[in-house]
Amino acid sequence: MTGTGYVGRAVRRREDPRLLAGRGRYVDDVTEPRQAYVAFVRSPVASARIARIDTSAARSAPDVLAVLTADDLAGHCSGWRGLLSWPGMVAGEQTALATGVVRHVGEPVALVVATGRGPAEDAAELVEVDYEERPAVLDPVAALEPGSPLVHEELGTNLCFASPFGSGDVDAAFAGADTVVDVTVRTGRHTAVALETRGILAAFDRDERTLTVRISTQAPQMLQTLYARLLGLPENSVRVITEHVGGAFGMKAFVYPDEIAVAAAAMLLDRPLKWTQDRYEAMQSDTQARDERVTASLALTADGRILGLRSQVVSDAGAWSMYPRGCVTEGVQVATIMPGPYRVPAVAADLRVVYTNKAPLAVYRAVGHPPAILVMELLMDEAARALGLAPDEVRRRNLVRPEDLPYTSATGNVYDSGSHLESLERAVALLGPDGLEERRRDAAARGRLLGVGLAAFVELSAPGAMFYGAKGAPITAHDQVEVTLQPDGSVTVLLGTPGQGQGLHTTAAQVVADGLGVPLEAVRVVSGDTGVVPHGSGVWASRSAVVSAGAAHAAAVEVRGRVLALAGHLLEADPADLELSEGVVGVRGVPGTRVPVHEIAAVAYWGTHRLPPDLEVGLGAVGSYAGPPYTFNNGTHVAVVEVERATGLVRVVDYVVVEDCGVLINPDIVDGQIRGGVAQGLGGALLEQVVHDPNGQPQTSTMLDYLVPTAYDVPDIRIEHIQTPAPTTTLGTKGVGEAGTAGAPAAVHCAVNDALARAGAGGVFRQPIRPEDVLDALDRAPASR
Amino acid sequence: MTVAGEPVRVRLSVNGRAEVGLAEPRTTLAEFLREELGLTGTHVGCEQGVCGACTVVVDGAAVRGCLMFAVQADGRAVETVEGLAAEGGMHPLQRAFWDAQALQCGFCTPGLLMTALVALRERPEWTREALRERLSGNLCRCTGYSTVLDAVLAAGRAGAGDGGDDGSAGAGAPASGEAGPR
Ligand code: FES
Ligand code: FES
Repeated sequence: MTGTGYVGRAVRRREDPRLLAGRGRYVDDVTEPRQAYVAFVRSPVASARIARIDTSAARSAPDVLAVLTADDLAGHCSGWRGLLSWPGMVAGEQTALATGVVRHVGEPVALVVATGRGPAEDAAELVEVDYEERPAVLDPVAALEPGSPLVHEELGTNLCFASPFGSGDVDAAFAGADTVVDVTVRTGRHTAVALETRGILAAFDRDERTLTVRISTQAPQMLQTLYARLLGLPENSVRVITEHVGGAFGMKAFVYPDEIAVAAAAMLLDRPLKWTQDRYEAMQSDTQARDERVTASLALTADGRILGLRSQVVSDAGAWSMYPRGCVTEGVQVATIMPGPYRVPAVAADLRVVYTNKAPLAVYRAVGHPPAILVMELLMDEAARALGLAPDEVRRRNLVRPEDLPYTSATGNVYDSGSHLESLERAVALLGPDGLEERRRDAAARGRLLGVGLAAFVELSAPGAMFYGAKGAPITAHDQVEVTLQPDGSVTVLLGTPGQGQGLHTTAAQVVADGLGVPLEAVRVVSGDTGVVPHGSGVWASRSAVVSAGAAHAAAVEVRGRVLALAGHLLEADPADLELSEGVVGVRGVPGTRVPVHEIAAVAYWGTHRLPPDLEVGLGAVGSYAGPPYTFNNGTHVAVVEVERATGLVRVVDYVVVEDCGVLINPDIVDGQIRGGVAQGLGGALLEQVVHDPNGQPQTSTMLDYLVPTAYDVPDIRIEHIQTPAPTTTLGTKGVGEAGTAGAPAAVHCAVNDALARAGAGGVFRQPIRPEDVLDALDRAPASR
Repeated sequence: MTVAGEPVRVRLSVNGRAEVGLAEPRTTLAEFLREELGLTGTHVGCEQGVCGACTVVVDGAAVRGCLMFAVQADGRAVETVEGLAAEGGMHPLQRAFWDAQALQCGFCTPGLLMTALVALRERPEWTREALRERLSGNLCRCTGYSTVLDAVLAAGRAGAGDGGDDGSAGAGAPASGEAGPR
């Protein structure tokens, strides 16, 4: 670092003025000449054979240009399997439009193109499809019974993947335990509900044979590769443009069948086609998550030390393993993250991932962490109650300590650094335990039970190629950033990764300004067009502050070196004696020698006759990131809730976060990630669930049925940072985008159970915790009678 | 098919300027602003009246642009996010959102700005709790809301409800939109 010091400062986001002015460019904001509109015919049933499709009425409707089914796309868009090389994993073959069978409500069956959106939607209703309904598979446990109907008959089983995880002698741990506690937990099926729904605008140039796709996605380069592959085009002929994205949260990191169907149709029809998903479609066809059934037990000594952890995890994958990330990551992370920040010498986890007739389960912010952390923290509280210890004390006795680092968990995760114990101590101090009794009495006077919940956690961030790339998906961590010093001293940064609102242009500019030694205002950041930017794997898994920032720093340092080499020649000085800061080159310790960087840059571009022929003149460089396989952040959340005795309503009244994500590039941006993440986790604990009826019909088809937190539901959040630099990443950063969501469901849940326990009631062990669950627990409590 | 109808001409004021465009009877105001007038700052997040992203101001009142038909706005004064800033300057609400980082992806932001604008015209001083309830009809999936509350409270202190101190925000608003504190 050159010490101009933009990294670490809460500079305002450069993205914001445009967005605040209403001049963002989300997919639906852009219109092409002769653009036509797409509407989909979607399956109204969870499981059926398609006996017949009659498109004739729709075809002859006014303003309709085409009606396409799977048969029409067959030679133009290959099918795929969402298969990763996990041993024994199976996945059915999927096509852009359903071929012969539908496997969940909302699966796209036919596509209608018309000159307007209204006419396209009208005509979609005229497509006649005869469905021969079959019994739907809805319960993932029953789905494993012999004789269960099959979601994919070609696979001969509903079991997608099964595997043990963990190490150590668990049987001995349990045999030697003084105390064993166990919990059975069910978490609700969630969906991301990005405020901007999915959408695509695809245009094909028949003469050049180039496809341009404007799409709301997290991973443009990945789509470029996969669209090229599936649509039979060279990769240099597919351009993916992603300007503004209105939230994604993991849900927009896939090849969706409906989206690629639009691209294929645009190629067939030679007209730009736009499809903008409506919310009803989003609730049926966006990826879902968190639908986990976990039974777990913890073996402890009498003084509260953990000896071993056992768990059985059943993950409800829905109908498809989404391409290309697949559907097992969540379940794997539930199993492997569960020991969390605690010293657990022996772990035996048993995972089964099962297909059902629901919309596909895939990655969603904090993938697998929320159920894993929830289960572990519920176990810790049960252990505290069983042993008569305070909740913080049983945690304190088991948290990884500084002298344990680097620590390898029994599930094989390496925690290279962190403040596992310290974050707990800080969080407890911030909560102010002394005032709690008074807060409890005050709440009681208002008919409410106060509860406090703790969640200590680790979060895996910035995973490298072994997560997906090594298993066959085009997803790695070797992202690139190109930095160019222009002749006038301004700097262009081409960012391989796009963003969905995280402020990546701002943080990249901070890193480059520091690494290169120029003022922040001199830096312009460009992203989101695969025709322009270098390679990147997209934005997911809390990776940009590590991967993208690392690549940006590498490029900036490379360019700085070239500037100094040139300056050395022009100033007749040893480059090692030169420094570059705030856009000025000077000889270290010689105040009089100050040359603005643009004078040097101008020579590199237009005055090359002044330079020796062997000197490298280009002032643009591509930096790439090659870091560790992942890095773990850590933290502790404390939630304080009030449970209204009369109604069972839960309100989160106070919330403390102590987070350690290493070096902060921009504290305000980090805090924004944490707050938003906590809000999503709180939603998971108390509000959110995709509900199906016994036939597999989703009952949560609007945002009135699927509740996301409002301003009224989310408390102000107190945040404190500990900065333990990651020893292995470029800037010492660790990812943080998902940490809020990872910890919050457990903290809120433990707080509710604490409130219930104080009323003599047993806990609730499902999420979301509905008022009826709370009332049920209170009713069953002997002490409350 | 039956809901479709012949397009009719809709004349209205948008951000103080006379505008005219064609709308089918079923065209919503949000759709009309976006597709017919090219004002894409008004966002559509649900078309179900729930998320609030489409909020615009019609004759001084905050309205869900996805629930009002364009023909219902005929002859009325509409304000959208595009009208907030004056030439080269930000409206105090926009500035406060920027200062407080009250946005991330920005998709909910235009709706929140317009809801907040009307709230601050009603009264500049809000308690945090009252504002929490007032803004709870606008969903944001990114921020967790507290910086939004910070921003609106700060803008109220800066006089954002005075009808647009950077010059133009209140241009399309009738004086009735500036009711004093209750
Ligand atoms: S789009 Fe109008 S309320 Fe959501
Ligand atoms: S900033 Fe993304 S929905 Fe509010």
